[in-house]
Amino acid sequence: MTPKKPPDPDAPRSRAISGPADDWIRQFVKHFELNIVDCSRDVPPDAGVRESMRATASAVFATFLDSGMDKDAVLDLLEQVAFESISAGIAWSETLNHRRFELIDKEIEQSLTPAERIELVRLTGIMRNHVESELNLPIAGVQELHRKLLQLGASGEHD
Amino acid sequence: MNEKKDVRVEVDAAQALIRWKALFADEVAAGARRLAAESGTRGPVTLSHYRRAAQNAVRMLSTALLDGETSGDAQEAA
Repeated sequence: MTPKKPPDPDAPRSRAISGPADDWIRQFVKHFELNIVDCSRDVPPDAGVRESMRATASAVFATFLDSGMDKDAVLDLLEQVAFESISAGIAWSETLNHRRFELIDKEIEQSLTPAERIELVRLTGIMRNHVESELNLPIAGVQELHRKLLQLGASGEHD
Repeated sequence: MNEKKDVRVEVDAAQALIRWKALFADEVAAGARRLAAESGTRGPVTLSHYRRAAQNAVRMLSTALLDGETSGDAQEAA
């Protein structure tokens, strides 16, 4: 799973949404509301916010399934969104690298908890962003070669 | 006494409200798109289109609610 770059907060935001997106939102909201009523049937009258939040989370999951996604695809999507939200602006460090190796060891030993699995996905995403960022790519030599080739091409045109 | 805790809402009623809201929203969106197309402008559907479509949709929703009430009464009587 390759994480996307987060949107640029300074980029101008569109003032309109597409018709299909508008249709999707209304359908999703309707299904979500019906699902949340269904998931709230067994919530007792004296239940706290925690039970309502759980019913809400169940309804979100059920609504994604209603939309035609399978369970794994929904989990992947939620993981990716959570990763993008939590990891924005975090710089890769030796401490994170060490923690990632710890988690990989646990994965090999098959002792990784569900929370640690999500943490490993998140750390892997941060690492990939770090490795793939332009600042960390060894492209100085390639850029120099590209510049020379352009120069050769330009002088060849004049000959 | 906490009045909120004593209130119970039938699932059928909560579901009906969701469907009415969805019906209203679908009608407004479709009506606004029609109005925008009829106006001949190539821009997006605007708040003004939505406002006019909502006024028509309120009347439609009122009729739909009355029809539902009649069929609901008939079901309860049966």
